[in-house]
Amino acid sequence: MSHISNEKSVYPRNGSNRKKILLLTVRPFLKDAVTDYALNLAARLHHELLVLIVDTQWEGAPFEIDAAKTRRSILQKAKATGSECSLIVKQGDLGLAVEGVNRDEKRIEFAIVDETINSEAIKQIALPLFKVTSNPLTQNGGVVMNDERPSRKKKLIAATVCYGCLSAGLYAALFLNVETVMEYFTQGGIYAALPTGTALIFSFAHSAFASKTYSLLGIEAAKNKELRKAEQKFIEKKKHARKRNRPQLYVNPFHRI
Amino acid sequence: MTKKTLYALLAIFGMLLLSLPAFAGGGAGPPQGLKTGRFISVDATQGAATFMASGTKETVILRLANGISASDIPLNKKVMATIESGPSGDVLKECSRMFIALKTHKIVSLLIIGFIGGLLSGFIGSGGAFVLTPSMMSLGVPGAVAVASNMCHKFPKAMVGGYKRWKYGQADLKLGLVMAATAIIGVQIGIQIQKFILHNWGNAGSNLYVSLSFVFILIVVGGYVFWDASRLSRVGMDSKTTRLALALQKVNLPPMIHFKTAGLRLSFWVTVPIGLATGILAATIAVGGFVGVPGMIYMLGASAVVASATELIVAFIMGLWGSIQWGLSGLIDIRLTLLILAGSLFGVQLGALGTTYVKDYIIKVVMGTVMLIVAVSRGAMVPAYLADLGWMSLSARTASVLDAVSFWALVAALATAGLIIAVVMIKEMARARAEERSLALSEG
Repeated sequence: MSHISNEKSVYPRNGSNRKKILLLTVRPFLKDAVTDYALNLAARLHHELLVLIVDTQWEGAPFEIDAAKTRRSILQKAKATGSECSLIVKQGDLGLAVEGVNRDEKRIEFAIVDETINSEAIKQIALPLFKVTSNPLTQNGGVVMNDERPSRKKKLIAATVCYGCLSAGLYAALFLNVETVMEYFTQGGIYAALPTGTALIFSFAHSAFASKTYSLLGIEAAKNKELRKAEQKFIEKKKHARKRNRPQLYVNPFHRI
Repeated sequence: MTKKTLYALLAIFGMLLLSLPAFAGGGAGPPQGLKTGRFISVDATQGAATFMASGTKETVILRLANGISASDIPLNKKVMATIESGPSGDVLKECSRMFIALKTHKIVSLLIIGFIGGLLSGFIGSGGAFVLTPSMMSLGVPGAVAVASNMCHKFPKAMVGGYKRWKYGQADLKLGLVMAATAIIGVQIGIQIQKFILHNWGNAGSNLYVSLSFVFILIVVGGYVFWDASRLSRVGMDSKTTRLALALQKVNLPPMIHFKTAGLRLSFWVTVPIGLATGILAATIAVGGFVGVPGMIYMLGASAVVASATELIVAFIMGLWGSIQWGLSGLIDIRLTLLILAGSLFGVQLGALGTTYVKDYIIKVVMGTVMLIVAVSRGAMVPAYLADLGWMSLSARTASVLDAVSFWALVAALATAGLIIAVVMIKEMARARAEERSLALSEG
């Protein structure tokens, strides 16, 4: 483990007595989705958000300049959401930086890390932590609870293409043999089953294609009004229930004791 | 009488009716005297043509009626011939090529017409046929082939639309089946009325009867539906059950049936007049839903959403049997059916989807608007039929103007309905999305 020879803190601060959440990164820029999530989480829990940017590569001034920009944008967002937020920039070893902040700041409940911190680096962090990834498809950049979303879309595209090809194939088969088809389909009598059966088969394939196309375009039926009301009630209930002092956490087994 | 007994009786009754060869549900079957086949040869000097009917190798000599010349007879092409038997032999009254040549503009027209017809059907539960059949005829399709092909497209479209709306919890399956059973009887009655008029007053009389029925039903029912919808949109309240519906709901004549989705408990006998009227109208103007849907709303007390969804089930059953009847006569042009289906299956799903976003009265607005504009379209044809009967005189220019008015009114009906549905759907979808986003934000 390398020692920090020139550990320094930018924007030094006095530790306050409020509970805190630490947002940790080793890059000078944070994704909007991750900061939004952290700010919302801090606001809900009535915690202060502490952002720690660690220059583990010793980049120096360019790193600090970029970190300053990040600070400005985060503070602006925090002001907008009414959350308390502060940003610390450190250089050197990640683990030691986190330890130092934990010692100075006190009452850091847990840490949130983004994708820039790999599993090796995570072992150095002596705090309970969550890893947050942002997904451009989610509206709020929250934790990807459902990893199936990109694959669900792929399945939908595949189904649309399949049914589209089936429908196109059926139409092509009929119209390329139209003379023969018309000869048999208009004979009447028992041949009446041919046009009615054909219309049914085509309607299954083509209506499935139409349905998948609309789903792919995001045109879907509205949620049942009762369901929407029930959803809203559930969300209100969850909001009240969230006012607990400590969230249920997974304890990092790799923390140094 | 238990419910199971009732359903069993209805099923048996239905099967007996279905087995009748003269039976035609969902619209009249092929008219008598109409035969399909090919002309082998024509003798201009004798005024006769040799005809071979479909399905046989035998030929028959037909005398050409006045007004038909040898050049009107296409040789070795599948045709529809109206043949009348007389004392001096069989007479060819009318002849037209069965199946039109499909050009690009006709294909595109059929796709667009199919889409809009489907959109209308999915949204208000009916109304595709009165648009599709005249539209096909305006492309040169013979009347019988237009009706047959439309019928063959109607039942799968109604099946898809009805299924979607049943999934959304809007269609009452039981109510649809009960209505369809009596509608099928109504169709028989309608056919007999048509035959009576045709026998006594001929084609002109039949056309006049159809047009007057159209105009009367569309103005009276459409006007009431539109007035009711305007009142609801102004006041901004939910629709109330009419006094007539409340009175009919109190009728306690067994068998009583509970319609879960519609939220009604009604005597079976209360549904009979509406079912019969739906069938009679279907046989007369090919759109039973213009009485069926308002009937379910104002006489049974169902909501507009449930009534329009349930009508699709009725349309499916009537359409299926009608298709079989027309198919037996070999009159379905499967190319036209499938081209219209290509558009209408997109339209009907979009229309069905749209009903989940809009308020109840919007469905009434669209229905009332369409009915009133189509009343203008059909009304414009009445003078022509009166002139055919010799009851009034009409100059060629006036007839041409009225014809154009009729056509463009039909186009306007389609365009207006499409526009209202599109605007309302887009507005409500955008509002629903905004609500969901704010819900997600408040959760996140």
